[in-house]
Amino acid sequence: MECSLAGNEYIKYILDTYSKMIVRLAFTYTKSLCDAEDIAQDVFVSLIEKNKKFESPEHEKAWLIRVTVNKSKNFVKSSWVKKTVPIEEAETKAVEHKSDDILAEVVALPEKYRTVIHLFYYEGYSIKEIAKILGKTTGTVGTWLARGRQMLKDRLEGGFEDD
Amino acid sequence: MTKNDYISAVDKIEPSAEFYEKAERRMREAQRAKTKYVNGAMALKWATAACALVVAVTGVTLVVSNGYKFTAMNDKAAVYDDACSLEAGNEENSVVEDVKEETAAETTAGQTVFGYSGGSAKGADGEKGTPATTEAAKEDTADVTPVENDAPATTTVAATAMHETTTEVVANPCSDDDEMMGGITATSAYVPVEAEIITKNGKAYILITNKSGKLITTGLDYELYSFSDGNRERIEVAVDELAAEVPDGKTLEIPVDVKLGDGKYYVKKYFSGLDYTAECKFAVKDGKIVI
Repeated sequence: MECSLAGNEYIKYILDTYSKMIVRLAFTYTKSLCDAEDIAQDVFVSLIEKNKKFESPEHEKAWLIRVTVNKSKNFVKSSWVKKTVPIEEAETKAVEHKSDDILAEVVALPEKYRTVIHLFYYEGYSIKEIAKILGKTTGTVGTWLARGRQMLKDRLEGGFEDD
Repeated sequence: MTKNDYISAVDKIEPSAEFYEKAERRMREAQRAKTKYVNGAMALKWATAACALVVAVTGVTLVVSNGYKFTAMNDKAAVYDDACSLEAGNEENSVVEDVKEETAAETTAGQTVFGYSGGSAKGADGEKGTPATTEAAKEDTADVTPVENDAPATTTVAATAMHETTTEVVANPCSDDDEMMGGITATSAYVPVEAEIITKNGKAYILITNKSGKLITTGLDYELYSFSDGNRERIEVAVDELAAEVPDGKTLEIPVDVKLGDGKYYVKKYFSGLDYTAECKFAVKDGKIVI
C-alpha cells in the first residue's frame, strides 16, 4: 500500500511504524532484545525482497506480524537456541514461585498461549483477527487465550485480570 | 495484575539506535539487490520440475544450489527457503507455510516434505534488463515470465515461489548436487496419493486423494497423453499448478482446461524430484470423459 513512497521513504516509514511492534513481538519468543532485533531486521529485509503489495495498513501489519511469528518460531527452533538456556532462565526454572513480573511470566508461557496473549492484550487484536493472522480457528485461539490467561492467574501474585 | 501492567512492561522494550541503523542499512542493501534481478532466460513454468526437492529426514542439513535449504530438526522435517524460511506463508495458505511448525510436527523422520518454486527468469549475467518482480499469480504458483533471449540452460533464474518467496534456482540444480540427489533417492518410495479423473459441469478434473495423511507435494507436473495401439502422444494441456496440503482422505480437484476429442488418454502425474509417477487412464467418448 505504501508503494507510492519512494524507496528511502518507504524504508523510513516501515522502520518508524513497525520497529517497536515487531521487536516487542519477537522478544516474547526470544526473551532477548538482541535476538528480537535480529529477527525484526530479517522481517524487514523479507518485506523489501518480496516487494509485497498490501491492500491496507491492516493487511500490512498483519503480514508483518505473521512473518515475525514465523521467523521467531524458526529462531527458537534453531539448534543453537535449543542447546542453550540463559542463566537467568535456568535459575528461574529451578524454583517454582509466584512472580510479580508480568512480562517474564508471559514470555514463560507456552509459545502458542504467549503469542495470543500478546496479540490480544498488547496489540489489541480480537480473537477473530488473531485467528486470521495465525491461520487458526477462532475456537483454537479462544482456547489458547483462556488457557494462557488462566496460567497467568496461577503464576502471578495477585492473579491476572483483564482490566 | 492487569493487561495494563503487561502493556506497560512491553512498552519498556525499545529497539536500540543500532537496530535502526542496521535495519535501514540491510533494507537498503536488499532494495539494491532486488533491482539487479532482470528478465532472463526461459520460462520455468515447471521450475518445480528442476527444483522441487525432497529430502528424507536424516538429521542432516542440505543446502542445495537452488537456494532451498532442507533441515531436519528434532526428528521433524522442515523446509526452509533461504530467503524467507517459514515466513513464506502469508495470511492465506501457502506451501511453505504448510511446513510450518504444526505440519512439520506431523512429519517424522523418514518422511518427506516438499518445497518448490516456480518463477521468472533472471539473466545469467544478472546485469541487463529490467527488474523482474514476479508476483505469485496464485498462491500456489508463481507467474512465470516467458522471456525471449536465448540464455544457456544453466542460466540462473530468480524464482518467486508461492507467496512472493524469492529464492534463486538454477535450471538444473538436481544434476550436480550429489548430496541432494541422495536425499531424493531415499524418498523415492514415498507414494502418498492417488489420482483419478472425473468430469463435472462439463470439465475434466484430476482428483488427488491423500491416502497417507502426509503432505501432498506441490511440485506436481501433469502430462496428458493420448494413446492408442501402445503409442502415446503428449497433449499440451494447461493444468493449474497445484499447491495445497490435502488432508488425509480428502481430495483436491484440479481442473484440466482442455477439450478432448474422442479417444483414450491418461494423465501422468509426475512428482518432481521423485522417481514416481501416478497415472490415470481414461477415455473420451462423445466429448465426455469415461473413467
